[in-house]
Amino acid sequence: MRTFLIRRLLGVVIVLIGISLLTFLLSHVMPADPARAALGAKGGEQQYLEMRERMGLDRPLPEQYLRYVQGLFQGDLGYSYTSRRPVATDLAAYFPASMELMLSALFLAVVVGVPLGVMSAARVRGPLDKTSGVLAIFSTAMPLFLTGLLLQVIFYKQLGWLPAAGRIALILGEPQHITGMFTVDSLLRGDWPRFFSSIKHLILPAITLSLPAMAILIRIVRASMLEALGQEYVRTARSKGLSENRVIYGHALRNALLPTVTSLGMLVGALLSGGFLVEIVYTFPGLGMYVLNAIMRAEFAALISTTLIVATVYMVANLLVDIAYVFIDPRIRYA
Amino acid sequence: MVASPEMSTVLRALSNRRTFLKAAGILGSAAALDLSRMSPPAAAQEGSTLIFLAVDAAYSLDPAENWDYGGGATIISHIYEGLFKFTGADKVTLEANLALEVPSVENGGISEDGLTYTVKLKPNAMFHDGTPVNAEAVRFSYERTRTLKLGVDFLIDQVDTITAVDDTTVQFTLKKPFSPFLASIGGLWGNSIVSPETVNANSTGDDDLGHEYLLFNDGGSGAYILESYDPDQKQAVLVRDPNWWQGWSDGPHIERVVILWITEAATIRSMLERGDAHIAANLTPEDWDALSTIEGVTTVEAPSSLQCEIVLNNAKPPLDNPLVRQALSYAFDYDSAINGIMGGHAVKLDSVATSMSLGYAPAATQYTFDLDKAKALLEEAGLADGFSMELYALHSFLNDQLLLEMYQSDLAKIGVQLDVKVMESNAFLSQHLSGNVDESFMGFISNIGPDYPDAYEMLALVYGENSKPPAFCCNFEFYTSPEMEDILVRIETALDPDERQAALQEGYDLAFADAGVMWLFNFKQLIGMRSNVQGWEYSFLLGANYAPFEKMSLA
Repeated sequence: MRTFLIRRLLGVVIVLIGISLLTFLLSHVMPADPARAALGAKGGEQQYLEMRERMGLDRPLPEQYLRYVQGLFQGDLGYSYTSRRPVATDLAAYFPASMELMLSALFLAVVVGVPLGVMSAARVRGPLDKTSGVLAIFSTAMPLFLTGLLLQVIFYKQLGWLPAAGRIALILGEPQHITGMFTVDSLLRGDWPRFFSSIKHLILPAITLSLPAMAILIRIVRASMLEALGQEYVRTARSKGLSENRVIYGHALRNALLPTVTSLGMLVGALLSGGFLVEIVYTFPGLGMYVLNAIMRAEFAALISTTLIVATVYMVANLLVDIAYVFIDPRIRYA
Repeated sequence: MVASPEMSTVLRALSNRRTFLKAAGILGSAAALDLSRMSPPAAAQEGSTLIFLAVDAAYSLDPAENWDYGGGATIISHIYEGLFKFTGADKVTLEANLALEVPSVENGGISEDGLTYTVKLKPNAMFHDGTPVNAEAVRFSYERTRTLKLGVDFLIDQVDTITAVDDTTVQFTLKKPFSPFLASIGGLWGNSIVSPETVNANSTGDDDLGHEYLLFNDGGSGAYILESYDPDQKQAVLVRDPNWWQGWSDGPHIERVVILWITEAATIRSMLERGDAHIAANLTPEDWDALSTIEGVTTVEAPSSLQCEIVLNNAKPPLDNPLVRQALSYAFDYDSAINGIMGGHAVKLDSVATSMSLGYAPAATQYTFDLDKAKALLEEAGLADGFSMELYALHSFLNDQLLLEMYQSDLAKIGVQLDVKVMESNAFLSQHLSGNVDESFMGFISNIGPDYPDAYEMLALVYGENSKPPAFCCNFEFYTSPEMEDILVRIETALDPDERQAALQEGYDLAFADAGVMWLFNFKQLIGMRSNVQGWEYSFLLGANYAPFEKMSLA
């Protein structure tokens, strides 16, 4: 297991170097000029040249990359000329918001998706199976921004139950910083007004983001369960007189979990990057809004760093999934 | 197979459908209970707090750097003050602000040679930090802008020296006569006076001059104090300064202004409809139309200083021939563009600057949609069979592409094959502004606005030799005319207003006759506000992102 972990972690580092190189090259292939963008609407030629020098854009490309990587190892991810502070500070502000949204959506997707998938498989073509099938198709087919707008119209505009934008009520302000995730921080400090306010602001974005993931989980769990329920050991269990619940949840589900857990690893990356769009719809200040501004202003350092963060989260999630296999299926051994 | 103990617990919980549903029911009820205890989303219910939805986040709050029409203008215009300010929605007027009066030759504020401007200050002005706004503070602020060189300093390029003559007298000596000087220091950008005390107390060095501090903090003397500015949460809060040196009238005032940068148009509309926001700047035409019918919401349409132009590359054949550019100008259907694509929310431009600007007058040559005339001009230019060209729309504005597509079908009728391309604006400008004509594009559709509302600036920026690429703005068309250069110098140096106006008129006439760029229209800004908002006024220069909070109240 240790060898496996070391090998995987080395793999993560190599992939991250590859991604950083690729993103760096791609961003520099774009004809956009960060110096022009940073100067804004005006600025003379002299100021432009000074800005290029300050940004290091006057140096050869390999040198620019090496300086960037060198900075990475020193925790220097570059400087954002939009936010006027180091990219690392920006990411520390925005990444927890995106993680909070992603984890909430993942939680919703699992809590609703897995049981629905199991119950659909247990009563094939039953009312629940048909309903969850329709829900799955609807959730996958609806573009995220449309779902977001629809939920806003219903729950904010018509019913007035939930807010349409932001992370927390203006009058309350941010909770004291621990993790940067408002729900977690306010909960840890027992700050109930802020906790409920941040939950309230999180509900609609999290539901919007979770729906496609929920649909995928329902279909994967259902298919895996149907396959498991057709296996010999299930027939044996039934012939031994075990209750149907015991057969389904005690035997079949455990075997069906492997593809489900695999898909969770994939979903983490999809939810994190998919969340960017949801963040824009709900003016939820996370990486999505940050990346949008970075693209508009050709902020390469911010773009590369965000890409690296998403890639890291994705790889760590998949590493955790691989480790989880061992616990789910004892036949799996890593050497 | 064996699951981990934790997993087993989860599985056991899920293994009984009744238990699961019961748990879900309890969670659902709890959530409903929690929701019922939560405060309503309408933060705008508080009587003296105004919620303002601005379009763009503030680029920088340091007045030595800020240059945006968005949140920066919303905030800076209230926490800082300049010597002068422009007022008026239909026609701008320069008024004294920190200054006692607007200098003129008659009152002795401007020297006979037009080189020295003497500005007397009001004696009682105070910064938020309690220090006086005196001549030294004015000198310090302009010198700070010149030293930092963060972009806006070019507006005072023509200033040679700034001297604090005494506590309430400051003198600007220019390098050469520059007639729009007062206008150039009357605009918002680069002209806010900062407190030397605050700057020095928060400066990290000579290169900084308090810049890092002022990016997020207040160093001004305005009617409102910056309470918080949180770019992460896309919001800023201003609070009324009860000790504002200009004093407050009796009656209710806006005590707090919450400025939010909401990106999604549908959210903006919903917030205004529900009363969760009081003013929304720059609505989409669809939302503006819809909100016009909503009770409790007032919609306003106001002319903006933003002008739409089609830039034709004067350095590339066949566009180097004025006859061809004139033909192209006659082939554009202005009325359909304004009434169709723009939904009537625009006004046709008949000069280089909008009719609200100082020195405005219509140009002698006017272009209307006339394909016969366009065809005849092409024949005269030896292009009876037409030609092909590419025009770019930049990603930032959706309507630009639609306008070019409409133009494409009309141009086809006179034999001109227009290829409409779309490109990301930053990438486009980076290549176009390289200064190399061979790398530049045939043309594009763009939007441009002045830094100060003197028509001279648009003339100089769009047609001046000094504004050609690689300069960043705004002779994108590579227009070259010694005659125009002579006109610009005459406008700058004219001391007699009539003489100046005559030179401006020559400039407008030449610009339109040469058709270096095609001026299409200036935009109208679409603003929505709750009906209980009192005292709101529009500012032509600052646009929808500005509202005079100090004059406003909530009924």
